[in-house]
Amino acid sequence: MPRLASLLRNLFRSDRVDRELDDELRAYVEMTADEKRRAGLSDAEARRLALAELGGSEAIKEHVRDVRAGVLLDQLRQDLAYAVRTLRKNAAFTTISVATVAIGIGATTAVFSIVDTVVFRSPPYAHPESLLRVCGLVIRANACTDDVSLEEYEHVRRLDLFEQVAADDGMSVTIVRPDGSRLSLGVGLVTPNWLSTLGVRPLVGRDFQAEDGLPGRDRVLLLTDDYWKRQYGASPDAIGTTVTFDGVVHSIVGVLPPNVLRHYADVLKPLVLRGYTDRSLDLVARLRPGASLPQAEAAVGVIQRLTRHDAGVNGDRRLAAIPLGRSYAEVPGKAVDGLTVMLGAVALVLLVACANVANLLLTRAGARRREFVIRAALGAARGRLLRQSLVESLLLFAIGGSGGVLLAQLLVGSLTAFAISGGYMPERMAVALDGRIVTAAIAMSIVTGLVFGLIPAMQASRVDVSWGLRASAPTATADRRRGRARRLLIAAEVALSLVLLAGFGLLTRSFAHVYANGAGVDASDIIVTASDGGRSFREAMLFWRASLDRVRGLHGVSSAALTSRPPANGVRSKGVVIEGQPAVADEDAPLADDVLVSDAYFETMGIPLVRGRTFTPADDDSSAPVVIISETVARRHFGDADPIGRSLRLLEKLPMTCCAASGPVEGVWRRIVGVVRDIRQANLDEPPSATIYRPYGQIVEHDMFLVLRAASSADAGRLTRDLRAQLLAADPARDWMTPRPMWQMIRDSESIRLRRFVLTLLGTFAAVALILAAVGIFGVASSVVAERTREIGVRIALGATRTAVFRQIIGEMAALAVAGTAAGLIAAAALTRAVAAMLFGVSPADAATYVTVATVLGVVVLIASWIPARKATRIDPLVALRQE
Amino acid sequence: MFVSSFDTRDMADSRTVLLQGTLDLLILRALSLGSNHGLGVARRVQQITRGTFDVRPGSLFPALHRLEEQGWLKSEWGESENNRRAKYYELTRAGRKRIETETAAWSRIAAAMAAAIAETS
Repeated sequence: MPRLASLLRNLFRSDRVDRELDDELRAYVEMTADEKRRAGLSDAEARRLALAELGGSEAIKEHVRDVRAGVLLDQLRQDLAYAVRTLRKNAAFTTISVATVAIGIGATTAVFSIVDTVVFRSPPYAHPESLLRVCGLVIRANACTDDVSLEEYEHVRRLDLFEQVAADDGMSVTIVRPDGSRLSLGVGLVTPNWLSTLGVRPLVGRDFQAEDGLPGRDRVLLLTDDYWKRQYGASPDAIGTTVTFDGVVHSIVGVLPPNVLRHYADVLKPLVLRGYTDRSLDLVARLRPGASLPQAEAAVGVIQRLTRHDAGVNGDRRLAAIPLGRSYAEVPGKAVDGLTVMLGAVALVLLVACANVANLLLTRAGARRREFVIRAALGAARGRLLRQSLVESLLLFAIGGSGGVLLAQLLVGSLTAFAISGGYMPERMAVALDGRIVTAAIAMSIVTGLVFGLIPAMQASRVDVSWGLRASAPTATADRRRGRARRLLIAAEVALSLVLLAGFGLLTRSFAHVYANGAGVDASDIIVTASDGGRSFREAMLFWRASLDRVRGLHGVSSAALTSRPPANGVRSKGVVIEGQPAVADEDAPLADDVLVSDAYFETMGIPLVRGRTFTPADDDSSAPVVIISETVARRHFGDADPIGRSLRLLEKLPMTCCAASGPVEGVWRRIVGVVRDIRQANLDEPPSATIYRPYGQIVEHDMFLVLRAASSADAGRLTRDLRAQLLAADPARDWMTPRPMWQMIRDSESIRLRRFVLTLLGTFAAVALILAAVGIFGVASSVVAERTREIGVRIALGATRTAVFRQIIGEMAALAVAGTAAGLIAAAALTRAVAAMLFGVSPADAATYVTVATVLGVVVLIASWIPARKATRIDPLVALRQE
Repeated sequence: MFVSSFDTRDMADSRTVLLQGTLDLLILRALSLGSNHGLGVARRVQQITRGTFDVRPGSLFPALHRLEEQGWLKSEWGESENNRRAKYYELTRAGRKRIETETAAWSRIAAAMAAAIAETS
């Protein structure tokens, strides 16, 4: 208690109070001395006695301070006890308010935690600002999407500018678990210095050591935090156990901290550089203190020239050094935009929630006016009443805030999973509510409690005892003021809900447009599967030929074809050079999406041929190189002229060698034999892309997709189920991707997934805001009726019809709704610009959406005020007039 | 034996409460005649209790501050009759109400005590 008292003293007692107390005591002594002098004592004697009478002035001061602090504490305790009592007595009010606050704060905290982890927080590395990524920059795309060779790595490693340079690669393996089930495992291959370059230490166990990078010594693994939790239940016993893949037993030596992510890796394994021949390294380097990014860029540029021969046949790629930033846990720019919009939307929900609670507090302040008047009449000081109201609303917000933190804890897991499935977060990223966010949430609830608790508290304490007790004339100023504040809050809630609804409406229409638009192919009854063709080009070609023949022979298959990339699946762009047209620098050549397809592809997918012919089985490695272009390519390069018979060449990063006896097949001129209708090869919500189709067989890849059109939807259903088993039965050596209907792949494509996430969340937020607003309107309408019982009674007694009474109440609420809607429309017109980038086929000022949304709101307002208005019509004038 | 089991701490507490209540009422009463400074309050209490209560600074000042904190009193710096700067205390409206309730309570206690004493003596 003494410690608490002194704490309070430090909090509440300023120097000024202490000085005043000194002055007061001095005055006391002097006046006492004056008395003694008047009684005839000498000056010195009078002073001495006066001081003696006072006793120890320090002790008095101490006592006074304690008394003041004690009073404060006592009152606080009383206020709290009283607040708890009243809140308990008004269970309905308390439940609604606490739930409202909890929803507002819970949703905000959960969404903020995710946005914070994905967008704001820096990655979990030491001094991330001095980390660079060294990569192959594809100049035209201005994207660091190309990998680095071992030779380049060796050069970069020798640069003085860098403290450390680590390299990594990735692969996917299948492990067989003890119960016989198979599990696909992402393995990140990293040089042993990878963790120390990032400045990360294992959470448990040890880091890789230099010897782990030697051939034969690399049989050790580090688990990612995510995998450790999923597969080992975060047990430290995982260390020392083994995992077998590729026929090698690996022992687990440690666990990474959360969110150290790489290559969709579940585990990390040392990368053995000796004998490394792939060209798919990714480098991370730490700058020496004092070295700068421009210096690093220049030094890396020199290496590019040293190893030029390795860069392939065109100059569209250079070695670059860029800040590492978030590139190890990358989210698309669209996703960041979407998350930011979500944060704004959830903030609107919080505002609606706070307005609603403020409204409830105001309504209750009205109902409790008599209680306050009585307490004031019994001698309660005005400050005391103010504090009482404030303690009550703070308590309300504190309980609600704690509930909100709990709710956020529940929400964040499912929301994270949803965000990952929507492509808004890197896979395997973990989100935790950390101390900062919880503190922010609690601070937020206290501030909202103060702000919104103060309005009703001030009104409650501004009671006038003289009229208050009369209470039969409740049309006093405070009432009117409170009524006005309440109406303002309701209008604001309506306006905020409208903004959310409008955003939701616009995005829903965009979604419908994107979906209806599709990929530009006839997706019905098309089934897609995929496999890996084998180790060599020759093997792959034979495998795919055989598979195609087999599938075409299956019952219920009307046609089948191969493609390197089904529609709506992203792109691989290459520069295009047209024979006989003015030459441009390689990096200025226009881009086109490069797709490999077999014969019958266009027929199977339902892509109409505009000119010329489609591919036939005769277009193989023994015939002349040919190509088919999309309409966009034809228009772009040939205008109105006929492209058939002209030739083009694709710019390749590397000269691709193929099965053909003639040697390199790429970089060769290909004769255009056909033009096909445009499709949306990359994304559903982007304009159709320029696409160039090359015949499979003249050029080969291992990994291909097999698409087939079923004869009927019944066949499609059956084939989706059975195709994989049938293929496996024919050739057990090769596994196939589970067949999926094309419409399902389109539904799950990035543009749809990104939209679905935003749409679902925004829809939920809008619904919550709407429900809260409806509760608020219901509350205000009910209290309007309650306060006007006498007035309505008189009107009914004087002959007003029930319909007129009903109309009056509904009319008042409608007026609020109209005002709120008008304000909301203006706000929405400004705020929906934030979602403009996500709109498709609909303008931000789409009138139909606004009309629909305003109508929905109008109906909700009508429903919410219906019951109170009905109650008003049932007022019995006799009862109403006799009341009080 | 029964006597010794009497809880002395309770007794001390109740006496403090009793004395504190008494002092509060006396101070409020003293101030009901008009605002006054610390010494003035002490002298006036002496006067109205016919010298029975001599309020010492050690209990006077904590009491004044407590009453102020509770909102029964408010204070203001002013000049005393012989030009000394002093802090003047004054009843608030809440303080006046307080006198009524406290007085009623005390009258009840006083009557009860008087009856009890008359009964046993």
